[in-house]
Amino acid sequence: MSKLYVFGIGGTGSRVLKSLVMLLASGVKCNMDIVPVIIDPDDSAADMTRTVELMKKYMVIRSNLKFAESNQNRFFKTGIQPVENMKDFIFTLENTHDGKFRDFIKMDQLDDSTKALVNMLFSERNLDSDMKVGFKGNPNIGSVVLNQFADSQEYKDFANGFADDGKDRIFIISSIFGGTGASGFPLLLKTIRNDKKSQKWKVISECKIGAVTVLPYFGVTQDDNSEVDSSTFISKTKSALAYYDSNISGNNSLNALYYIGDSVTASYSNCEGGSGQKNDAHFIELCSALAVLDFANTPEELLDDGTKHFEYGLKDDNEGRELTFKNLGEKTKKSIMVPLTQFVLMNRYLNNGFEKGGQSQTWAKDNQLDDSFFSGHFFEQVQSFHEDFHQWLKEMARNKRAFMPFDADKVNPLFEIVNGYKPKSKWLGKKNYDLFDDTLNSNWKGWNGAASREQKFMELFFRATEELTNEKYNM
Amino acid sequence: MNFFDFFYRWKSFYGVQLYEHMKGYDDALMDYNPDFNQFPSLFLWTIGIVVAVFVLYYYIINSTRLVKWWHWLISMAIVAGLTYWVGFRTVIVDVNNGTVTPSLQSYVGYNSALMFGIYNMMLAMVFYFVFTLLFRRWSRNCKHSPWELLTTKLNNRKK
Repeated sequence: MSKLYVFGIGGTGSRVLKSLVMLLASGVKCNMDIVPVIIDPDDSAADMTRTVELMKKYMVIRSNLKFAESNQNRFFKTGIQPVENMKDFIFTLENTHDGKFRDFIKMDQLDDSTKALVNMLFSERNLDSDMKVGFKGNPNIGSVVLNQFADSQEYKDFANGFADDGKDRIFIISSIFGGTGASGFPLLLKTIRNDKKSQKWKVISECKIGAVTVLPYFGVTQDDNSEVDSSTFISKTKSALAYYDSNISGNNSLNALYYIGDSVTASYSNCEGGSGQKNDAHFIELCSALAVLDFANTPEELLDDGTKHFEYGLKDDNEGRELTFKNLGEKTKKSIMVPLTQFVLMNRYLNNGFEKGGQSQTWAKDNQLDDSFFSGHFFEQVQSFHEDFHQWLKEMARNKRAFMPFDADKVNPLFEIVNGYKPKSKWLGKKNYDLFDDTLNSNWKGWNGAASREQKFMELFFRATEELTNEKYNM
Repeated sequence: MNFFDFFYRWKSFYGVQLYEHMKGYDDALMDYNPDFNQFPSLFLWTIGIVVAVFVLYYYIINSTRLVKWWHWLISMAIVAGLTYWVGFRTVIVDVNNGTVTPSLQSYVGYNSALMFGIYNMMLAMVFYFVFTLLFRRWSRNCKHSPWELLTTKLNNRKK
C-alpha cells in the first residue's frame, strides 16, 4: 500500500496527529498507510509525548492483527509506521536543546553589518530566547532554525524510504498562528520541492503534497512573563496568509491546501512549552485530521492542475454551542459516525461491562481468551489505548467549542451514549451489557477459528459493535 | 416391569410397600390395578419439571449474567425442590386420604413420603445432569455453564 508521510509541525501538529490516530483506530477509511513525522523543537512538550505514546500503542496493537479479505475488522486497519531509523516518530532538530537563539546563529562571530541586520529582524527578547521549549510563537526564529531540514539524517531517511513509483504522498499539518508550525510549513515544503541533493529528488518533488493550516482556534491567558501572546495571533495569521498566497498557493507548490478555523475560541493557560503544554483535544484538530484522510482518499487525477483549496463547514453551527453528529455535514457523518460509535461501544464495554464477568462469557471461552490473554501485553495495550480514547472524547467535550457526540461517561443505559440519537429498544429481550455479550456470543459466519487470539478478539468486537450499531441506531 | 416403573426400581430406598402402592396394588384384586399405577404420571411430571427448568435456564432466559457454575447449581436446586415436592405430595395425599390399600397402610406413612420425595429429587437431579451434558451445547450464552464444554477444551488445547 502507498504511504502518506504526515508531517505534524509544532504542538498543533502533534494534537492533530493524535486525532488522526483515534480516527484510524476506530476504523475510519484511509486508503494509504500513514508515516507520521513530528517536527517540534520542544521535545518535552506533553502534547507531543502523549501523541508518540499513543502511536506506539497503536503499532503494538496493529502488529498483532491481520487484515486479510476474510477479516471484517476495521479497527486499527490503517498501517502506521515510522520513517526507518527515526526514533519515536520525531524529526530531531539539532542545536535547539540547550541554547539561546543568539548562540544558534553565532551572533558573536557575525560582522557588524550582519549584526545590524539581525538586530533589525530580531528583538533582544528573540535573541535571548531559550529554544529548548520551541520558538514560543516566534516564526522569525523558526524560519532560521528549521532551515536545517535538508541536511538532517532524518530527512535523508525519509527521502530514501519514498517509493520509486511516485504513489507516495506527503501531508503537512501546521498552525499558522504560532512559531514552529507557521515557519516550519513553508520551509519544509520548499525543502521537499527543491532539495536536489536527494537521490529521489525527482520523485519527491513531483509527488502529491497536501497541507492543512490551522487558523487561530484558541487563545492563551495574558502573562507578561511569557513570550506567547494571543493578541498577536490574528496579525501573525494575516502576515502568514499573505506569504502563503504568493509562495505556496501562488507557485502551485501544493496540490491541496485545507484551511481550518473557528470564530469560537477556547482559552488555555499560558505555557511557553515543555511538559506543561498539554492542551485539551479540540474539534478543530479532529477536522484537521479529517483533512488528512480526505487527501489520502482523493484519487490521483483529482489532485492535478494547481492547488486546490478547501475549507470545512458545519451543517449547523448550533449558535456556537456544543456540537454533536447532528451538526456535521453528511460527508463527515458518513465517514466517522459509525466507526466512532462502534469504537465507543467497545470502549464502554471494556470499561464497564467486561469486569462484570466478560472472561466467563462464551465468546471468551470459545476463543481461548483466558487469564493469560487478559493479563497479557496485547490486552494491556488495548485497554490503555481505550483509556486514551476515552480521555480524548472527554477533552473534546469540555473544550470550547465543545464537540460531544457521545456521553462518554455514561455507564447505563449503554446504548443511550450517542447524543441526539435515541436507540431503538425492544420491550422484551436483552438490554445494555447483556445484549452486548449476547451479540459477542453470536455464531459468526465465516469465523476463522485458526486465527490468533488477538485477531479473534478484535474481530469479535468489530463484528459485534457493527451489528449493535446497525440494530440500535438509524445512522 | 414397565418403562416408568424402571426408574423407581430401587425400592429399598423408600420402602417396598410404598413401591407396591405406587404401582397400584389392590387388596380386592390381590394384584396390581393398572389404573392406579402412579409411576407414569409421576415420572412425566418429574421429567417435565427437569425439561422446563433446563429449557428455561439454557434457552429462554439464556442470560449472559447467569453463566457461573453456581448459577447452574441454583437451577438444579430449583429442579430438586420442585421434584421433591411432587414426590412427597403424591404419597402424602394418599396417606392423608386413606387411599392406600389396607394391607400396606401400616407401612406407608410420613417417613416413606419423605424418602420417596428424596428419591424423586435425586432421580430428577440425575436427569438434569444428563440433560446438561447432552443438550447445552446449542445454548448461545450458557453453554459453558457449569463448566467448559469438552469439545471447546479439546479444540483450544489443539491450538
